[in-house]
Amino acid sequence: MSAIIEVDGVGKKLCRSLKRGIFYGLSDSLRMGLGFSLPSSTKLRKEEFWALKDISFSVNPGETIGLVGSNGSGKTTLLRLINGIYPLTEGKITIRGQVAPLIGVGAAFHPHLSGRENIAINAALLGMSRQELRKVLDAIVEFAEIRHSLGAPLASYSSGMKIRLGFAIAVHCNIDIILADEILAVGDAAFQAKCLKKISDLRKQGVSTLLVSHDTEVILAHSSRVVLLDKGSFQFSGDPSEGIAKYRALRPGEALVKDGREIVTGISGISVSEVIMDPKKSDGLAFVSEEGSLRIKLCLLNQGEERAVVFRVSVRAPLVCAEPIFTNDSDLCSYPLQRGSSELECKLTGLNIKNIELSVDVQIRCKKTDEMLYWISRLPVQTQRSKSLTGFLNYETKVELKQTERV
Amino acid sequence: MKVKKEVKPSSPLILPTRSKEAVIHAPGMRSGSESFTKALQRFSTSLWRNKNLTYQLYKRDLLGNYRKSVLGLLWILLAPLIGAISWSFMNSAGILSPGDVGIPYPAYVLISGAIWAIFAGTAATTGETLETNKGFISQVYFPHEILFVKQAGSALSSATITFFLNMLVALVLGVVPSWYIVFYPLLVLPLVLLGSGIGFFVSVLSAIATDIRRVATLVIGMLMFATPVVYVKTPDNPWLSWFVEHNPLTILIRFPREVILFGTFDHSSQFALTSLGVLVFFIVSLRFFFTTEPSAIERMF
Repeated sequence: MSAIIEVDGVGKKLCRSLKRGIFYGLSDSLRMGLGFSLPSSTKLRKEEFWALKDISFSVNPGETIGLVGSNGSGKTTLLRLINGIYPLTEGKITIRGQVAPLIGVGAAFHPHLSGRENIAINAALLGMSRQELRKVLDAIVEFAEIRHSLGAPLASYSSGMKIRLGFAIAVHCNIDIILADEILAVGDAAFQAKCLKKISDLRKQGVSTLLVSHDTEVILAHSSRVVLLDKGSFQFSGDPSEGIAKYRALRPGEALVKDGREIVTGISGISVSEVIMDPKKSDGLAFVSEEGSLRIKLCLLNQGEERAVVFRVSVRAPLVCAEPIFTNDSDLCSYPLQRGSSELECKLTGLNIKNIELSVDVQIRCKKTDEMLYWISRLPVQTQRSKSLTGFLNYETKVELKQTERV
Repeated sequence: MKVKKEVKPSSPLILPTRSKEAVIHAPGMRSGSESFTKALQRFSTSLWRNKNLTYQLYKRDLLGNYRKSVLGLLWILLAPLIGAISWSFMNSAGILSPGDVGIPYPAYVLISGAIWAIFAGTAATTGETLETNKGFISQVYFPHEILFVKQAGSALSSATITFFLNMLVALVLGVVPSWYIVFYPLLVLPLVLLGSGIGFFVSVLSAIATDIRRVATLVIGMLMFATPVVYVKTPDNPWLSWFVEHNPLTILIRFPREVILFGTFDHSSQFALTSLGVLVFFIVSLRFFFTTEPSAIERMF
């Protein structure tokens, strides 16, 4: 089976200076319009740079590719080239199917027109005929959950409704390729989960996805392959965990990977040694419990002036965003952290986690100056691992702090 | 799993909207219409294939513009009426010396102005095509030529409504048009083509440098007075009178006006020749649009 997207030696020049861009644009246009040849595309003119250079990879039907790279690495430009919005400077991109860009969903929405009218316009923009739209209209409305406001002007919709509607139109338009650029940055957790579920359903029907996200958990959970870009050049294509590891290694200063854990900020004297999720009941799945606890062992050596610290623990799971599950940063609870080793026990009740890979972020900040003293990200929670990644997470928490050892 | 048919790749010159044909993006592929006939062919194919999208976008503009106003579509009628009243007022106050127009001056201004608006409206609206539709151009790819058709379509439809409403007002003022009015679409076609042709150039170039559109707006505004729209007699200034005589708009406006109002066919060969020239200009500008638009788009953001 041939690839649905083939990117072959693609390069794209952009111009840094606005005024020079105007000059190059006008002179290029006039040259082309009058039939003269353009200056060599391989040479850079003043203020020009390669936004992308020598990018080659292919996407097979049904594959989800996680496209990763730091800001400015050329991810969005690449998606625009694949979508056909920008012309290429060199190379070739072959597309065998209908592309649905989720770069900006609901591109042609008009605030004064009704939901129904806007659906017709956006579906037409994705190449649907009116007959085709009639068949999927119900599914769109259902997915977007806007049945009651279908006749109301779009201006009356909440921003979440608009995003849902835009996404719903795009994924119901008989597509082969989804270009998803940070779609998960918008919308609430439930909607994100719904989107990812839809993408994974479509994948089973052979729809390919190019997923751009800064959330490496999402990339790991959903991609079959990772393509890594850095400063416009191709770095890696292959196994997701290897790709993510390379991506993290590309960001020196931002993150230190220590024993497989990512320490974002660390001031000497504070360390979090381990996080243990303690299932009270376990029936072979990773974690099923009415009540469980999360134990965090931490050690505070130099307390100095920062007598009072604020800490925040968030649980990360592939389908939910990192929401703090407990913090002492409120009037309701305050945990005086003292020098020495402490153990923080967080009782989680009403827990319902199934087959989910969890990791924890722990932040410790100075209460007075709000300075981040310690931030460890993606500390894996020691539970049994499972391949399947479906589940729900909800919890109510009670926190207890035990001083285990004084210095 | 869907079965993907292996097909021969086609160039994206004509974008297959819902086909599973392979599309190739490569340097120069979208701007690859070298010949003028190819440009015309590409334009008409694209328009046919995307007729639903063109219609939807047209409807979006029409409804979107008028829905949030109390009077709604009545504005199409009101705006030209107010214009005609002010011209007539100036005339009765003796400020203007339009010459002998042959019919009551208000009716003359109404009809003549409506014909002019077909040209000016098309040029102005198509000239801002890429700018106005920037929002979705940057987010989803579709053939942009249909945006021009949509823009020209909305300019033409509002000018046409204005024209026929003004014709009714002229009837009240005692001016009966000749039956040749049924040829209205043919008579104004050259004006639409000329306006869109200018629009292609202005839109692409102003996507790169916005100065171009400002200049175009000024020039079109001035052109109205260098064309016998609100007057008929030749101006006294020799430069202006030379210009009025050689300005293609003069004949493109005068001929339909005389045919519709008086049923006379003076200068018909001149009109035919000018129309032919306009057609050539339109094809040239279409080719210019196809070759330069891709590089203009990336300079827009």
